[in-house]
Amino acid sequence: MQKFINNIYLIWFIPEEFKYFWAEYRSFFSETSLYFLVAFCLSLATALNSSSFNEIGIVTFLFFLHLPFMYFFPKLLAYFLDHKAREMGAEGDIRILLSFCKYSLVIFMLSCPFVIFVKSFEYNSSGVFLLFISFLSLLYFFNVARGLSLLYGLERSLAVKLVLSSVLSLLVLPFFFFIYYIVSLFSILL
Amino acid sequence: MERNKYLLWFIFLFTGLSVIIGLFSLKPTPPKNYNKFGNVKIFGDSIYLLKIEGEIHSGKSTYTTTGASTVLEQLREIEDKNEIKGIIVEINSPGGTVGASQEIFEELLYLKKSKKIVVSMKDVAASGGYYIASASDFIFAEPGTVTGSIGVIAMSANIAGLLEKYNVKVNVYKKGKYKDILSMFKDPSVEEREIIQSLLESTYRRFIKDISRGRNIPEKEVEKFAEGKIFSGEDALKNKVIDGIGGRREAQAKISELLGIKETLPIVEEEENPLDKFFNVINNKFLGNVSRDFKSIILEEIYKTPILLIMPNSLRI
Repeated sequence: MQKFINNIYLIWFIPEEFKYFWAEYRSFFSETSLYFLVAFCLSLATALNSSSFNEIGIVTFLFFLHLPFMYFFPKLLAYFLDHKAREMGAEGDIRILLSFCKYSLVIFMLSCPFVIFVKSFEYNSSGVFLLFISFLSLLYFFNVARGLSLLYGLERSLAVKLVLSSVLSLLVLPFFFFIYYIVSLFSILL
Repeated sequence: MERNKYLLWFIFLFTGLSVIIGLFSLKPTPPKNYNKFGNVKIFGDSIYLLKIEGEIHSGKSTYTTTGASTVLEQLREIEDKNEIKGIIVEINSPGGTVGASQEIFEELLYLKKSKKIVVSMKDVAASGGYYIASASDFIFAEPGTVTGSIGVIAMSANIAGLLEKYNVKVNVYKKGKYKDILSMFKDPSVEEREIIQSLLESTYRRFIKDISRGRNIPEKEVEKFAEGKIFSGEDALKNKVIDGIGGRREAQAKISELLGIKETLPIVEEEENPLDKFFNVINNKFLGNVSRDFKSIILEEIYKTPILLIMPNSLRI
């Protein structure tokens, strides 16, 4: 747990020091539990936000939908970014970038308290939730861009461009992701 | 630096707490309906719509008749669903077999303890149909509804004369003096008539007793509109056979009134399984004859039962 918190702390508050502590705080258990926690929080938030599908069965369904995505997306994103950065002549450790992409996902856990908070004011709607998820996604991409620029020595604006172009490529590749986006969107809107 | 770490811990604890709150505010997944005709999904307080259509018989419902097993499965499924505050029973049936009508009546009477039940009668709600209706808190009917026919009937044709005319003899082998009591090849004896009459009498008394129990009125009051009399909706209201004129909307409002709430609760209906719907369309479109044959088989089964709670003839406008 300590390693888990330390990694998140480094990634979100002092990312420039992450590469020095990466080897020390590396933990398979932390990374695996991260996928589960994020996928669970996201599915619970989506189910709670939905007026017609707020059932435990739906949470389970969404959990198994989000889990593989949480596992594959950071990996693919890190490979894409590494490839593009190397094409531009930058050098960096892909393993550290991969950890950075993984631990940055933790931001999506905030979707759960957000839904509870909004629900307590009886103001939960699909639109508000979708906006919040988009906001969290932007935060995630900007944090990954921050990590990329620090780890590969790239300019911040160039790193942002690389991340956004990689994400656009990942919108439809592989095909599984395309299905994931459609189902996730429907689960929020319905 | 330490402050940021505490903030992170706080965010984690807050997230954990919200997950716990979130899990408690989730609704349990409704159990899968074991009735193959569909699936009920309930979101919030609501009224369940139960349809009794066509002849009432034991076993499973068909597309044109009502089977007691199917109805009981539906009712038992909603029994422990607290969101279901009331039941609207829409009846369009001339009646059916005694056992099936009694089973549904008893189940509704049991459910009446925890849920409000209002009946809305359609074209016909006679005999066994009225038997079921009497278990409710309130009965609505349309002005042109045919209802009543509170009585018991047993019929058997006698074709002995016809057979004699064409010199046809039927050999009957039996063990038991009254085994061929409803035989169509002989006139019933006085004893046999008495046996049948006594059976009808006891079923009729039970019918009257149950209506009195369900409607909460004395048996003598029931007898006034019993004896097999049939009524239009308006006449039924005058004779206190029903409680009001109206349809589904009025029934919905009545449930709110009985519950003492102002808002009108939404109606949930058992959704037809898409596969069944598909086969129904296919059946109606391309296999109309098969469908009719199937119905005639069911009706044949019903009329095998010697004693019926059914209106002997139907009215057509």
